[in-house]
Amino acid sequence: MRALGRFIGVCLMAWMVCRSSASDFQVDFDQANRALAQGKFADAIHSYQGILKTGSSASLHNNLGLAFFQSGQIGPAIAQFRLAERLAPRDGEIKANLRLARAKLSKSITVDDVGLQALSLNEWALLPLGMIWIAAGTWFLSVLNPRAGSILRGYTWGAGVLFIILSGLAARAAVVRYQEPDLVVVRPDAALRQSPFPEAKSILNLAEGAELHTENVRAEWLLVRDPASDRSGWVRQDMVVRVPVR
Amino acid sequence: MVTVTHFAGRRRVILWGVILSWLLALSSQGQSFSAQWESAESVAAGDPAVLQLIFTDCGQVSPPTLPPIDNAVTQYMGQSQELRIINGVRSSSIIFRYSVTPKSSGSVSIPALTVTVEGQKLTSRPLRLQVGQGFDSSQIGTLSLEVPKSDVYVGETIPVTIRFQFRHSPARQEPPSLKMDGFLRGRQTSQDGRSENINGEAMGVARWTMAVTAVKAGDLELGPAEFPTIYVFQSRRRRGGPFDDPFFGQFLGGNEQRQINFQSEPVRLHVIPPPSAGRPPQFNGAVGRFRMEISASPTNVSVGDPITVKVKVIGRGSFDGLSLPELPADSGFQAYPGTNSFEPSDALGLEGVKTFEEVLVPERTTLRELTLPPLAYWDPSAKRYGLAEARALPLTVRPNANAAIPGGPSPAALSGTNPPPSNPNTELRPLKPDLGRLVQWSPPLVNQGWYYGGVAFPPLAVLAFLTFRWWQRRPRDRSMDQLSRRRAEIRDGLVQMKRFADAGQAAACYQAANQVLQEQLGLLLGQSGGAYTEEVIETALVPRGFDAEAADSLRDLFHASARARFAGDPSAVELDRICQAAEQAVRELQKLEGRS
Repeated sequence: MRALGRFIGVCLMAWMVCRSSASDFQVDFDQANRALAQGKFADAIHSYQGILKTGSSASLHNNLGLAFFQSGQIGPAIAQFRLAERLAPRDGEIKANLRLARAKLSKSITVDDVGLQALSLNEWALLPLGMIWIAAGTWFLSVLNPRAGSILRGYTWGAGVLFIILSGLAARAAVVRYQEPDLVVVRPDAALRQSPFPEAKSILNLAEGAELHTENVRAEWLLVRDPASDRSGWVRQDMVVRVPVR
Repeated sequence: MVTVTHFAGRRRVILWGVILSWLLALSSQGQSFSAQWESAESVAAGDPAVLQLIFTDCGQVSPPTLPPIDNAVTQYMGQSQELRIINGVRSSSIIFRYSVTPKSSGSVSIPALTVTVEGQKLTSRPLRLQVGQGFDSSQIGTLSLEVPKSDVYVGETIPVTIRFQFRHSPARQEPPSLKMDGFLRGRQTSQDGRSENINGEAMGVARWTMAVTAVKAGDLELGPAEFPTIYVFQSRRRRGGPFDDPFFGQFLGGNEQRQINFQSEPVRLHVIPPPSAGRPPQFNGAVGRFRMEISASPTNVSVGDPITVKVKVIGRGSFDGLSLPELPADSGFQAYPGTNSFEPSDALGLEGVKTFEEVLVPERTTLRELTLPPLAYWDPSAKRYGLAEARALPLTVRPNANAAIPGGPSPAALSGTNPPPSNPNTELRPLKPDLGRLVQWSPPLVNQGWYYGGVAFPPLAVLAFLTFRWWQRRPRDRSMDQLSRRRAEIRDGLVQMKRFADAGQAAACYQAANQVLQEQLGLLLGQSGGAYTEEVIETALVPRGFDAEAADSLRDLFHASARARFAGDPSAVELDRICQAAEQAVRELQKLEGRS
């Protein structure tokens, strides 16, 4: 009992520390928002990036994207909006900002299986996990309590069928996510090179905001494929921002 | 002895004299400087000859600079070194080479050249190069510059065309270059050679047109333009040779390449600054003819909220250096640097739309409209100044309820409850005021092993439970199976016994009754049946509480069975009685089995 009490105490303290630090960052976040509203884009970007060193949130990436967008840096803006969308896939405002930033570069991206995009990949993954636990739990209850077995057996079967359906949808969502470009070009001087060296021959000049697929990683270079031209080549990592699957 | 000694002394003197004279001969090679043609002393105009300046035994020397040579263009080509030993005499020479290209027929004279080497003045003899009728490039093509006017203003952009008119097109060519001190080059277009009728002759004409902007005042020279080409000709071979025939010419490499550098005459332009008389105070150097359009969003804001202002400058002129006039300090707006872009309407970028996007932040609520200062420009065609003015945009500036924070955004902007934008597809959504929970990026669940463990655990637990239960039940079932099988055998035995009795088969009937009895006793006593005798009643059944009446009946059954086996065929009544007794005994034994 004493050990349990100690564990609960440690958890409470950790929770309070987390809460206080989050509220501290909210103050920084408010200041960055004010700088952005006053048109001090560089100050706002600097402040947002300072908070990003601690953690990410959809609001943070969205507002940083707005700051980049309003300062004319469309490539970094697209990257930030995509990161925000990963964290909050059902946020219509973030989607609208991303659409607008892409439109600024005369780009449009075809989104596969819009329904699957409504949930993050982690959310999709948790659904079948929950269903299989419900199915197994109700089955055990029906075994332990045969009188309630006839009712519980229906839940077991229902959860089992849902598990199969949701597993299929989660697998499809994972395929869709991993087929999406995971890199955004954020520098105007980015180029696709034949080999991972600065002096290697340039194959293709990459437009800022172009979205690419990673195929391989070697030190500070990435082997990428440009879906627009369907050409592969090496690009330095500092020329792009990675949008992880989540 | 004296004579011999004297002779030996003379011989030594002679030997030393020879050695000294040889050394003197070696050292007497004096420094020299000469000039000569490397090949023939006559060339055709336009063909280069090579001039050699040779320094012999002069040590380290640097290449001399040739004086200007009439009717020729000279160019330093490089140096080489030569070491000679002739009859034991060594000499070293440094040879500097120059190409001398005569401009026209006649002659080219190289004057006597004087150089100073280690304080000593050395002079070469003068040379002469005979120049024959050379190659006339104007018979192939001519290069010229076309400029629309000779008087231009500082900042004015004009189209300049390099025109190449030719009878034969070159085998290879490089883009033409244009010398342009005091001018800036803009966009450029090119037009490949197309056939035109010039003075009754069909000639090819290629044009390269570029936008050129004058950047300083004065009488400036634009050009010359140069156009390097390579032409391939059939080579001129000596007449009278055995292979002087067009047929052999085909096989003996009858073509030669010649590099021809076409050059145009320069054009003199009179560049003047826009006049100071009548110059508007807002004038910042814009030259051309422009008009201005303005749009802003949003126009209903709080103090401190940013307004994105888009200004389009449309017209013809020099767009490269075009900038908007600054807002006056008392405008009530704080301006932040924005971006600009240019969309040309023509290939040279002389006409088009330049769009400026800036952010203005209203600083007071009294602002009712947004008015930008006019853009002043000098119109070179009308020769007067003009003003491009944009209409005033009505604005609504509300007080900032968040005034506790100077310059802070409105609560509406922060809370994301701004009035809906006029066009949701073209306007950014408002800032998000709540930071939310900060998370770390981690690999998705589907890439983590524990996730698959979590999915696999429930079905595995169910499977394990079912396996355990099956395993637990399995031995009990086996013994129960065995019991039920033996009971079934007993039931079957009783049926057969009756059947044999009905059929009058006494031996078989007694055997069946005995088997049934033995099997039931085996079941009761937990052993296999088949070897029990009458003694079992006293030793095993009575101690287990077997009923005395039933014991007597069973004892009678054992006796009857023994009697029947040795007493011949019994009557049907006797068989029936035996069967009933056997059934009764089995029932009693089963009762006892159930009790135990």
